[in-house]
Amino acid sequence: MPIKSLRTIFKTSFIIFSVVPLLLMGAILVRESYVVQKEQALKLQRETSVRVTSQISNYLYSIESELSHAISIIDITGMERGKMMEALSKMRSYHDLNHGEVYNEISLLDQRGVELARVSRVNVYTKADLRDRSGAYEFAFPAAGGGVYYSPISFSAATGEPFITMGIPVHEIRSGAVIGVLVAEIRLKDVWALISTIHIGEKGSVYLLDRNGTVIAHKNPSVVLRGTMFHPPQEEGIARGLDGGVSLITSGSVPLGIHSIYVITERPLSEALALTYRIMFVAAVFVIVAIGGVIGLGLFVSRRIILPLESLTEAAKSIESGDLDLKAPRAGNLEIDMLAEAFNNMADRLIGTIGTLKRHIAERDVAHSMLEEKTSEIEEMNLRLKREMAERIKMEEELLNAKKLESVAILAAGIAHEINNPLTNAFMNAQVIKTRLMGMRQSHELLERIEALESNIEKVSIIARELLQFSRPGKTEFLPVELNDVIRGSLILLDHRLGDITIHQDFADVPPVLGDPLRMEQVFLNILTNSIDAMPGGGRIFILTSEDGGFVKVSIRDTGAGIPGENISKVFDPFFTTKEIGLGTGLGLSICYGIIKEHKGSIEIRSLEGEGTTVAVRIPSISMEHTE
Amino acid sequence: MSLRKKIAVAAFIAVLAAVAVLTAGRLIGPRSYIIGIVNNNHGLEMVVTGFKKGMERYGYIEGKNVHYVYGGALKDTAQIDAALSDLIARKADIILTVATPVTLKAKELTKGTEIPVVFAPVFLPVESGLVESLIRPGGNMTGIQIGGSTQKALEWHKAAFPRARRVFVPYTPDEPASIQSLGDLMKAAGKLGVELILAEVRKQDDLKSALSGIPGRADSIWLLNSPFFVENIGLFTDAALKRGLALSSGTSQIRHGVLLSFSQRPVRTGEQASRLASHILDGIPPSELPVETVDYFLSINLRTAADISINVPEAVLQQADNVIR
Repeated sequence: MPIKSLRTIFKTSFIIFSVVPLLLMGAILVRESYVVQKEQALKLQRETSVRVTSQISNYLYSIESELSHAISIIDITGMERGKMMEALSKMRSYHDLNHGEVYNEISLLDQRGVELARVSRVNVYTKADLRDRSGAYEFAFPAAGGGVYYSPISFSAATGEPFITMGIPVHEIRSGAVIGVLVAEIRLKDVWALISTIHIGEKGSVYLLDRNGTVIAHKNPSVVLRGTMFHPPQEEGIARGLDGGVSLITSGSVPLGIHSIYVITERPLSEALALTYRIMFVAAVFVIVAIGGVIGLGLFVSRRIILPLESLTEAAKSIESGDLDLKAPRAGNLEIDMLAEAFNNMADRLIGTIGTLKRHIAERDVAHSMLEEKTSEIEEMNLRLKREMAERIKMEEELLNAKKLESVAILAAGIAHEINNPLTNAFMNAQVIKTRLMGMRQSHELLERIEALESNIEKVSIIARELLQFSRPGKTEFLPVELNDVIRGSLILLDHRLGDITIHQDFADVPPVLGDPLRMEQVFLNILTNSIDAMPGGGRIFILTSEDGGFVKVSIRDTGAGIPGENISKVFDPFFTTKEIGLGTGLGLSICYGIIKEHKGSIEIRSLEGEGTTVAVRIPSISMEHTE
Repeated sequence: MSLRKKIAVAAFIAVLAAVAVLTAGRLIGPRSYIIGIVNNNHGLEMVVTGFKKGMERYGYIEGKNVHYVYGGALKDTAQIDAALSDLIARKADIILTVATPVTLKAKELTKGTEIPVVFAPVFLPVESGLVESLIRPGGNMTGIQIGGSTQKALEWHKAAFPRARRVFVPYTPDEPASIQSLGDLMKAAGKLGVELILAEVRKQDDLKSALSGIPGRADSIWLLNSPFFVENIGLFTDAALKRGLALSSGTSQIRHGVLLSFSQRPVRTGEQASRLASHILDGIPPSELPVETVDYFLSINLRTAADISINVPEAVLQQADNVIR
């Protein structure tokens, strides 16, 4: 499983659970604020548009209503000119409570469009000043039955004051026919003043447009006087405003006959959404401060927790790899610092313990070395002892064997001596009897019995001789002897007994030994005879001679029945035999043993039942003898 | 410094900075404007009253966000110069000048300073050289003009005193307002069939002499738009009452002895001027604010009419804005 870095986990968690939520929260807050405030700003501006539209409409419609009413209740066209002038003067002198002098001039036109009278706010008109206005829209429209006419808004060339001309039809009371037109030049200065006093926020404004998009009223008169034109957006909302800046724009309209005045409310978007921007700013500050705080906290955690943990991990790994010197740093008094301190203390103790252990190990090694040394000595001594013991045992065995042999030899000598003479007598008597019987008839059975007797006496004599030989080996004459030749001689002597037995010879060029050739021959004859006897049905005999560390070694292996394991230790005992009674005295290997010992050699037998027997004879070579 | 302390200090500074940034705008507070007023005509004191009243309507409250520097109507040129110089030194946001002489002085002293001047009222500002045109004043001045009411005033005089045929008109050639209004009067007189009996005067003694020697055929006296004449209106009213003559004018004077006036209302004029001042404080330069014309109001003094045995027609009284009884 791959290792996950705590620092990576912390960073990821920090971003996912701190930075992202803060940013999301800020974004959501700003967006919601934007949406809500935009709607509120639009609503406020709409209300302002409606209010201004209503005010302008009321102003103009009230004037229209007043004039229409005034015209309808007096028969002004029937008056003589002085009275007509007086009536018009009274109409013109009307002061609106809110707007002051409303009318700049009022004229009464007859049904042909010729002025019957004209009164002015500031000018003096006489009869000579009356005009034919039959071609003017303010006469023609109402005269044609179109109702009240509103002219486009115009401006005084001298003062820049705005005016609108209204044409109101005068109807004959009974027929309803248009008998004249009352033309009034309406002062819009106060409407203009109204527009200029309406504030939407600090930089917002309300202005009026005519049907062509010409600004006809604005809080900044120069905008109007420059003939500024603007085409408002089709829909309310965010768009480029009069000054080209992005603004929140709403609109309304005041229908004036065939014309309309458009009321536009406009507020710079930055001001309209100032609250949103402020919230955005506050949110940004908050988010920045919060992120700063979180980063600070993160740095704190990183420095005071993650970094110490990493250092602690490094220290642990260092200890794992065997370097105990690296310590975890401690920066403060937090739990992590206490952990680091505990870790360091643990490491120190570990170092101390390891040191102690090493010392102990060293002492132990020393002791172990000494022990080993002593053990070696003891083992050596033991080995020596064992060797000595073995030698002693061997010597004791040999001594015992020798004693046994000596005893046996003494016994054998005694027996041989005792039976020798009788045997000799018995044989001589048997011979006499045989001779006598040979001349007699019907003595075959007796002759056979005498011959059998001679044979048995011979066998006993052989046994007596062997016993005697065993007990009195005779004098050994030590000469340089080539064992290879001795063995070959033995093989010749036994050739007639080999039958189906094959001899395999591997004679090395061995040095001569110092020994009695006859006796040596006797040894090898006994050994080979035993091998032959162990393979009645045939087999193989392997004879190997070699030089072995100053000794000449002769190994004779057969493929006979082998010697049972329980008998191996007894094979050199006198009279030990596994043959049937009468087929051996059991003294052959004892005699071989004695001869080999006499030659300062050794004889060993190894055997595996069913596989064969190996007899190894080692005789010191002449060079070995000389060295000793 | 340990890590903990560093973090604590950094956090504290961050919070402090945030609070400072967030509250900066609020702590600064709204600006307070200095508006200087220079007036040398006691009769136009109501202009100042109207101006302040109008400024309140536009959100400029004295003591809150506007401070007025005004010591009352001044008497002589030296005082006018001193007052204007003081306002210039204070770097006033606006200077309101009442009447033409003060405005002319303000024009001269504010040259090169960019201090906006609003005049209310001034007679013939274009002809006086104060502005380039009524629609686009240019420079650092705009305001309310007076003038142009003389013709209509004569018409009203004729309506109020139908028997008026010959009007005695003192005039002074030294004042443009006097000459301009005389010209208007002569135009109206021609239309209305009124004879003007002119008398040139230059100083008070001349005026006294002229008024004491009004020809017998005169049935009316006219007070032209002239500061000199307005200052000496008492001489006019005395003469009118003594001779039983109808005294009318295109000025705002309607004291006892004056039968009719057709002119501004100083309070209203001041209010008109306040709108211009509010525009200027909103950032619109005076050069782009057209000069406005005062509204004219018809005033009739019935006490004077009674004293000189004039029966003012009902129709005229019905159209009067102000009837003194």
